Amino acid sequence: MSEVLIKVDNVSKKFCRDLKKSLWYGVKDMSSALLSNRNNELKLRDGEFWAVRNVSFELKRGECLGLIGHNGAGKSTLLKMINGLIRPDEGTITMVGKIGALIELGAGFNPILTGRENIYNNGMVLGFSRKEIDEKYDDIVNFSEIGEFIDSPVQNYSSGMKVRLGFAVAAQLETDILIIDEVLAVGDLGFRIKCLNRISQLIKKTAIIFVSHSMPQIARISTHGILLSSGKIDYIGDNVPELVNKYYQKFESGVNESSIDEDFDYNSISINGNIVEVGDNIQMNYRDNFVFEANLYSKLNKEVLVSLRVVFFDIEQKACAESSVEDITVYPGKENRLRLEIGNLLLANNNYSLNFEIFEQLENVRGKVYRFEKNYINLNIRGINATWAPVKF
Amino acid sequence: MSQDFKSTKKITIYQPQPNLSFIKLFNEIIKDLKPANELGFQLAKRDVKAAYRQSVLGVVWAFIPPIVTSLIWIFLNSSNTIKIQETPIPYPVFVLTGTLLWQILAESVGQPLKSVKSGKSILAKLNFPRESLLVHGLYSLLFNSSLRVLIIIAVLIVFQINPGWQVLGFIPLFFGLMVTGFSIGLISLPIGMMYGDIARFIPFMMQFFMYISPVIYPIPDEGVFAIFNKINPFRFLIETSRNILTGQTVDYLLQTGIVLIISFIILIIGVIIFRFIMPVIIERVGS
Repeated sequence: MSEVLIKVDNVSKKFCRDLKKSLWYGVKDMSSALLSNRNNELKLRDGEFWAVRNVSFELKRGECLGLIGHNGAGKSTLLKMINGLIRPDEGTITMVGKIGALIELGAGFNPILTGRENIYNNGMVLGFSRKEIDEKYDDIVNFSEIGEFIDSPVQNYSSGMKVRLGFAVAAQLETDILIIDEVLAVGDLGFRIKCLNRISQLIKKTAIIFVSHSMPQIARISTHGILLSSGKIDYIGDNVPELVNKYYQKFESGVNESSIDEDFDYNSISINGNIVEVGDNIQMNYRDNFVFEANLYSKLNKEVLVSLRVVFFDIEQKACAESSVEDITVYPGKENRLRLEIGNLLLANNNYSLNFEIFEQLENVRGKVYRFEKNYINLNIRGINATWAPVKF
Repeated sequence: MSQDFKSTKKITIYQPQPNLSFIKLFNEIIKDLKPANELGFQLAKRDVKAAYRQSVLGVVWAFIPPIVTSLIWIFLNSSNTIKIQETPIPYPVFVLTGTLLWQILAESVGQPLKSVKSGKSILAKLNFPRESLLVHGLYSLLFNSSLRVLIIIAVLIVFQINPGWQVLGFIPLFFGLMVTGFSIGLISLPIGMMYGDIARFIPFMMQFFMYISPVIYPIPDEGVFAIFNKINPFRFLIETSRNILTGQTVDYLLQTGIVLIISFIILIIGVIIFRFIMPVIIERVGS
């Protein structure tokens, strides 16, 4: 049982949008803290709002919490409190062990000085001692792939090189807790992969809080997730596909939400084959038999031609496989069975979520959608590891 | 709270603004002193290096302004444009030492705000010992002020003034000048971080004090000036420093000592308040 390293307990923080007022409140807060030994008032003053409201979570060693939300949802404010830069207005944050932050790469760089000198500037701002940097110096230079440029002024570096050097220093952090904010959005692809790999290495020994707008990155390294919206927790849990999906839904304004039309009554929907049900999820093996069945009663007064389609999404919420059965006749006034069978499911070891839809089949076009289910169920496939792509023939 | 965690590791707790406890904060500062010192030194070294690497004249720039200012006053005096009363030492020595000593003091007042503002972007992103920015300020001051002392020494040699062994008494005053200025800058820092007015006001105020202190001309024996200068703390520091350096008798040793002690106390209080108040400042002016 690994230990809890971060405990955030009912934390809230106020903010003020108006600069003049904000500064004035700051002066008042300072003087009341210094002179009257009184805590900040908890009620909102004119122009203030809750940037973070009643946020609680726990994180253990070996876990990575993906923190997502739109701009202004309160992610950075929460991170700043966890990092100890600002104090919460309410609640408590307790942390065990050494804390490291990967928030700004290359903090403390001076553009005129050489890469070599700036390794020391940056490293010491991050909390390394001069001796530690001496020891890690070669690793840093190797990791950064800067080569001979290490003795040139940093102002001659490309932006990618600066970031590489910054990450190379930060990658040496070996702390119990690591806070990562949006730093991997830069650099070329090869370097981003290198960074993610380094973080994946760290994850085993560390509790990580990871903020990113890149859902593939979130899906790839997070074990848990929080979706913040206007300072409040919208979703919290260890179902990362659902987390990512909820985030996407916020952009989709209803177009892509699950829907059921009243023309059909559904008696049962089932997934059969070689499956094992584990809670809300189902589990099956590579090359197993997958059968999707829907029993429905049509209230229409005529026959319709429908199609049944099943789509598999990977954990990054990208569609990666689909199968459909077309031209199924649904008779009025009786029960109809829609059946889709995949003889051997060629998906590699991973978690997938499944969408299905039943829609009217018109001449080469899609007619009315009778039923659309987004993230109907999560599917955990075992047996063969994915290398490049999820589908293995 | 802590019994939730089965660990012997360091436990960090962040809570709403706690009450001001000088002893607790003081202990925290002492604990952070070593890394703060190391980082502050590194940052000061970085800035000094960078400043001189991109400059042809380099260190000469430290000498030019006080020398030019002094030359102007020497010229004004010798051309009888203005009439400065008789000084006990040659006037060029009087004005050069005065200007250089004053610059040590004036720079010290502005330094805390300058150093902390230069670190503003990292303050809002990383959690490093905040005192390191003050240490950065002190080391930067030490560097610049030492250069100024070198000029003073050069001036004394040129004018063949030998202060004798009492010159060693300047060492505590040298630090005293910096500490006094620094502590004034430090207590104005919380407001100065919020409002730009302080940064504009400081040079203005220091210029005002320069003209009413015995920097460029001695203080008349009578009149408003004389009364004011009975309580002007800067006057004691400048006058005592100059008298020690030029081998004259020192009249106000006690007053100078009191100024230094008060400055030192303000410095300690200022550092504690700085640590206490930093989260509020970052919250308001962050990034």
